[in-house]
Amino acid sequence: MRILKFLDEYAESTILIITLLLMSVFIGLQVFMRYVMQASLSWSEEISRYLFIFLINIGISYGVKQDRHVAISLFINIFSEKVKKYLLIVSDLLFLIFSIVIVVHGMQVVDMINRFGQKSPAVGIPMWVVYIGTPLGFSLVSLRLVQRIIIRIKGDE
Amino acid sequence: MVSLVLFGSFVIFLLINIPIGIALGISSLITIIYSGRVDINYLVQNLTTSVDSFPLMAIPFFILAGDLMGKGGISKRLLNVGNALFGRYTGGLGIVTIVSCMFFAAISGSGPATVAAIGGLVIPEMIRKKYSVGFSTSLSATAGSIGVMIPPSIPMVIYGVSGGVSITTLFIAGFIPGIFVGLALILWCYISSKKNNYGEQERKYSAKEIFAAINEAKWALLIPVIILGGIYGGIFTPTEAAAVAVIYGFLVGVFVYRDLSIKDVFDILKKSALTTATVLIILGTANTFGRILTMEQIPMKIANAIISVSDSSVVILLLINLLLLFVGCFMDTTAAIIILTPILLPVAKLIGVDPVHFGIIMVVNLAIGFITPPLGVNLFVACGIGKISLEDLSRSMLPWLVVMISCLMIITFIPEISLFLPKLLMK
Repeated sequence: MRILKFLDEYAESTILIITLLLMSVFIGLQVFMRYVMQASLSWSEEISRYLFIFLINIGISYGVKQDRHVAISLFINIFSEKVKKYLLIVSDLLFLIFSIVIVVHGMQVVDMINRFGQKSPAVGIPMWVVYIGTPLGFSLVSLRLVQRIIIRIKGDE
Repeated sequence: MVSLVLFGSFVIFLLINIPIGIALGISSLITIIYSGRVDINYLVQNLTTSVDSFPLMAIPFFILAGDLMGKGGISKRLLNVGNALFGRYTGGLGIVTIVSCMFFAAISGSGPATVAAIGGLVIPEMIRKKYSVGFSTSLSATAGSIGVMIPPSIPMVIYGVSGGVSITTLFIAGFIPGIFVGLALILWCYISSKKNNYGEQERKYSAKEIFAAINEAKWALLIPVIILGGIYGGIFTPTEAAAVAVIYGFLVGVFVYRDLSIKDVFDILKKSALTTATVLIILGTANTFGRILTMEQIPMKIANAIISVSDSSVVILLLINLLLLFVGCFMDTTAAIIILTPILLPVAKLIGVDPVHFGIIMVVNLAIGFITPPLGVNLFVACGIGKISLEDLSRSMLPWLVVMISCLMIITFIPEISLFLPKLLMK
């Protein structure tokens, strides 16, 4: 239980912090090596770009947890609290369906790319590793949405 | 019919508070299932491929750099310099706010971040010095919108990527319009302060005090030189410049000024990553949305419809500006740029507007969107700092909006303001 609670609180944010930290260090290092050491790095840009993809996918889930996604709340606020609550549940359910579709098709894409055996140009990472970011991120999104829908329904009592 | 499904469902989803990026995704999905013209896997792959971009990585870095410096006491030192230089004039503190925002804009690429960093310090101070609450907050909110005009600018990065326009060129082009808007705001601040007797009896600072303030802020003042000098001089790409700014801001904040703790740094990292993700999910799904639009030839149809209204480019640009201002009232700036660039850029090209100039027009327009109620992020930030209701603030915004819209018109109809510097530097 304690582990679950810890994951609930810190899972996404820890990944986000580490990813963005590494990206900054890698690109900073890239500039340093090129101008100060006169030796260009071949891997830094590619690795950072892939980290960036993970950052966005995990960040989407964290955005759900923190309720920070960019949305237009103007219209929904004209309703009574009760109606508003149901509309928000509907909107979360639609979001959830979308996420599940992304996870299912995302895994198909990963499978397809794995079968092609494609590798990244500079470092030689199998490309399916890069593409798994999307289904992984949206699995987390789905969990967060289920969590939020339950909280919204329970809030009734 | 396809376009009706696409747009109809999109609007409905937006209204029930589904995040913009997801609304774009679901309506694309529905249209795909309805028409069968694109593969669902295309939508999924696009979530990865559309953000697999080195230029876009400038976004988290610029947010990060701005936050590190906003928290790290750099904004306070910038304000001290501004105060030593301009504090003694009528409306001095207002002018100091605008100048500091312009400086901070050259570090940060975001409007609300600029309001938070500068306004957070200056609004209480202005109120203490008998400026009205409405004037102080509206001025800070407006000055903060310069954050996206003076490079670096996150909306410019997004426009550049969506429209296939060089980000470096956009960064060069935005410089003069940003200064121009800043000067216009200073002028109005002066006129308005004169009328209301704001900040009359301020003292003059000695040369020694001015020098001390500049010396104290030298590490902060150097940042725009590094970022803009590096980009303009072709030393590094905007993304690299942003990463350098991050490392510089970290070193200065933690080791030189020592007002950033490691915990602050972690919090800032987390926040920047979150903001980045919430912006870029929109780009990921907008790509597929845009693809369906193009297959249905909707941008072309809209272009033809607009051109059939009038063949005068002046009228068309006015119409586009009106549309952008209207959208800016309801939609987040970056989201609006992502969605509207593929639709409006072809129209602009058709009537002979330079894509770089058009980018600046869009950015200025949507910067105004930051300060137009009901949805203006700068307003929300400023309301929170000044403890004033959105309604009261909106009333005080009116003259500032008039100034901003006048600037917009001048920038729209005198392309040289935007294009002079790129032409000079990029020969």
